[in-house]
Amino acid sequence: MAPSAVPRAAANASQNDSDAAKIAVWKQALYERVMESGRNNDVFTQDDLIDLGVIPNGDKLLLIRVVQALSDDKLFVTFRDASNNILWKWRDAQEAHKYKQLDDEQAMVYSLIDDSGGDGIWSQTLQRRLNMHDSVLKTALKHLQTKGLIAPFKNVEHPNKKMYIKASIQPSDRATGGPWYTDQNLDEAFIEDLQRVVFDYVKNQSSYVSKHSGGRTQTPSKGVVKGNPDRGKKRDAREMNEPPAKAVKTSASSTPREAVLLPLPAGYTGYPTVRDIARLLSASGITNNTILSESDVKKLVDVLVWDNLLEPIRVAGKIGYRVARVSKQSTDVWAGREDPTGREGQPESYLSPYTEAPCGRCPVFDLCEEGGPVGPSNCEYFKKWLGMD
Amino acid sequence: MLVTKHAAELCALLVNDLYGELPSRILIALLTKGRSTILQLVQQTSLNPRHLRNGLGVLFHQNLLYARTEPGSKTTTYEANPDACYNLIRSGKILEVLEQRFGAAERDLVQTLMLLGHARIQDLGQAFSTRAPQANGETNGTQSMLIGSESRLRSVLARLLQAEIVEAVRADTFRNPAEVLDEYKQEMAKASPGDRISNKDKLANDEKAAERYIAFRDNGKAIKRQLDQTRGSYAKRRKLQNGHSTNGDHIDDDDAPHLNPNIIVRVNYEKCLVELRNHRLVAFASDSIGETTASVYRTVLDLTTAHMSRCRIDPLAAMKEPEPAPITVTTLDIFDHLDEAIDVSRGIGKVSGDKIDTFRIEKVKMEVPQSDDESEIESDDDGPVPNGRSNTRPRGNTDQHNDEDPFSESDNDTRTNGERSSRVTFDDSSTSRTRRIEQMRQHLLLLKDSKHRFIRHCGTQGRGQWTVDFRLLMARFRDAEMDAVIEQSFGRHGLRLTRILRERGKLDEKMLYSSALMKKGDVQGKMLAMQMAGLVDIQEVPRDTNRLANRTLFFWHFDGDKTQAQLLDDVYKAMLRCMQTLQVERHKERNILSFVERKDVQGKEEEVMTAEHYNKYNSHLEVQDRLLGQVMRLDDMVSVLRDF
Repeated sequence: MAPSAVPRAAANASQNDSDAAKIAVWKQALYERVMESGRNNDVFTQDDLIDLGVIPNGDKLLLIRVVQALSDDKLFVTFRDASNNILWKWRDAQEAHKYKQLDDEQAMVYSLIDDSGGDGIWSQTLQRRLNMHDSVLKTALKHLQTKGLIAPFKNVEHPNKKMYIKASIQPSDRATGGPWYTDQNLDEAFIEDLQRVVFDYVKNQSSYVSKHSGGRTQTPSKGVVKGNPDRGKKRDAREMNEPPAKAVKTSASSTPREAVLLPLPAGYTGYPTVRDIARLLSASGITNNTILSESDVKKLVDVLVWDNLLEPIRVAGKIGYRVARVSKQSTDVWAGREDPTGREGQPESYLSPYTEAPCGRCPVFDLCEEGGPVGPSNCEYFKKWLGMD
Repeated sequence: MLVTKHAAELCALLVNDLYGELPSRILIALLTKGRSTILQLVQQTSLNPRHLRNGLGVLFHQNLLYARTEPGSKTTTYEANPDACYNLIRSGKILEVLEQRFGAAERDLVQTLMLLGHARIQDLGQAFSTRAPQANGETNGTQSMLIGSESRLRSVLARLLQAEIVEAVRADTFRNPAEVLDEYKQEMAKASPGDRISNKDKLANDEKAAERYIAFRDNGKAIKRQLDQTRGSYAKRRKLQNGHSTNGDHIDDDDAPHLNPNIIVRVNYEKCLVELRNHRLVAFASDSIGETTASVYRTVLDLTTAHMSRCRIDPLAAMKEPEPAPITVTTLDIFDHLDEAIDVSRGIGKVSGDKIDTFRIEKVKMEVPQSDDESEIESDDDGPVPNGRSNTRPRGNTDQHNDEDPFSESDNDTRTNGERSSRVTFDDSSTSRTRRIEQMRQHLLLLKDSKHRFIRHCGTQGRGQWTVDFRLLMARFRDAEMDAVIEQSFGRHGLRLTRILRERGKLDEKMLYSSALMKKGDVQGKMLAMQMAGLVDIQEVPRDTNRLANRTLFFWHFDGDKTQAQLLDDVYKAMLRCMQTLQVERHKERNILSFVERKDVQGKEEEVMTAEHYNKYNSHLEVQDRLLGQVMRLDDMVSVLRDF
């Protein structure tokens, strides 16, 4: 039995050898077909694989052996879909090579990190998914890191979480926050400066600079009509004969002529659109190494609209933007001012009478009561406001 | 009507300031305890009935009370009328606006009526006749400006009655309107048979009651209708007067109507508020577009509101009274009423003609927009477009004209100058007229095109018809007021966050800081501050039944109505504090003030007082001006938030 067993084993071995050789050929063929036919993320069912025509006669047993061999080489990834069908995906040979160097735990960790792609994965999630012991996970991660396969990084959405990402790929825009982030921090100075540039640009494009300010009185709105001390008294009847508009005009023209902004006629089509603004920003080169897409610029403009500085207007089938309260804005530029306190060039917004008086800004307004600890009879703020210090 | 604590205190303070402490004390009792009889008031105020009756008399005479005598019993119940009390603060503003709109005589009459509360026409005549010679002697040249004769008084009064500024008073004017409506409803319910009333019947009953209520409310306008019939409607007269614009003020002196001398009249604050609203809207338009445009807007508003009795629909009559159809005016109408002194060529920048989308701006919107959403900007709603060519041709003319001169500043100057001279010499008056109309139209289009949509282009007759959608416009105005307060209390970032919430509804924190382009920590700080102030609030939505914090979604939201209500109360409080501070100041300077009040000092303060005292007195006047000015400005906010 023994002597006969040897040649049979040898035969078996030789058959195995030839089988292995054949399988290696089919393996290669199937892998190449799969690579050719599918894009990166395509998944294949058993039928799909047979339909490729690499396996002769649709031999399912053979297919299983070939696929098994591919999986062993980490060239195929096996997984199940929701209805429990087995599916396969191919993997790059280089990647597969990396897998081959790893032991089981490391491979598991690595595959999860691999799957998470550009968004990266949180170490806690790894642990929860793999149900590994903490120290095992740690050594695995350490090992992977020393091999240069993964890298720790910070995701702007979860700045406090320890995240890992494959070393070979760039973090996604969502993870870095797009152009608004520099080193995982929101670049507020950058955003603020860009907003000023955009505001100035839109202001220039949506207004008309008039050098002779005839139509506008230079008196401050504060306390002119409403708080006029003369209002209770009877005015001289002769005053009525003088056209007030004329009086205003002469006084305005006697003062040095100051440039004012005027609104453009209704239906003006030249209001800048998001695209125009994006073009300006890219042409001006202020965003030197960041590329702003149109949607990024849209975000920026949206914020200015929410700040009541710009307003959208429909022009010729698209949305243009113009400056709000055009006649009250100054002709100076807002961008590039060094002093943070100086309000020059800043957009003028509508002032509320409520917040101008002490009460609107009073920190103890809720407590204020006649007879209480603070009240009208001992109000410090009113004293200051009335100039009785 | 329910009033907040601060509103009640403010009312009491105003009454105290004007009519003394006694009425004010009674008013406080009425505001806090609600409807009371004299006996109840005696208990609440610890005043003796004689004083009480005096105080009530003052309040009653100034229309600050609602009173009601039950038909069966002899007792009368009294109730405070907080709206009327609050309106005291507006007297000065109303007079100013009326003087602008009608003239000095009308202002004088209304001022007298305000002092008297309500008065019989006969008594008014006497009051003015005693004043007349004095006025005549002093200002001989401007006699026509003031009321000198009985007939003049009647014509002025008729004008005001027709404009609804003044209304007739009857016994039941002093009843609380809400109560009247309730009573009608009850009567209707009694009249309908059966003990079970179906919903439909109830609705029908309520409608009938509302109808009766409207009849009750408009009773005071009977005299106006009568005058309209005999004298022609107010608007017509206005137009006529404008024809003879130079001496329009006193052409109707001769045809003074006969008015029953026993009719009692008082100021109708509801209509005055309409005038105040116009004033305010003009200021708003001036702020957001420019002054020339605002003065064109003034004319539009005067025309559209001539027949508008009140700013908002009376909530009590809302059932039977649908939103009134918007009043439209044509471009030519507006032009006819436009003040000649307004230089309509100013106030709009110049661009070359090919950059104007004439097709879009001439688009007509017939329908009243239902809600105020941004979608209007997004959607390309193709409303009916007027047969564009005929409409745009005059525009083409101006464009051509624009193309001829290269819009240099000097050119522009000479152009306006040249135009002015042409207006004086009238050598080519027809062309200057068309040009002026076209320039005015540009301002109208600008108003229409604004973010706030001041007017709506609603038709093509008469070179375009225009209307004002007050309800929506005022909602936008309120938002603007609120935005300003938010911006100044919480900064640009606070405003940004609330605007995002308003536009998008409830939002997760993550969405919030990614749209606002702000740091997470900054957003959290701002939102927390605003939550403390009651502007925004957070809603927890658990993802599962465990309600664990990390399995819960947190949504921020912004409640505009609540914020407005709160802001309104805060403004009341701020007004109250200003008035109280004024009182404190007066108390401090009481020695000087009592000295100044002496008859022999009045008018020659500077000579009589020592320099030190005189300076003190002057600085006190300054403080007073400042505080009262602030109160007036705060009142502007109250009007916008509450009344308009």
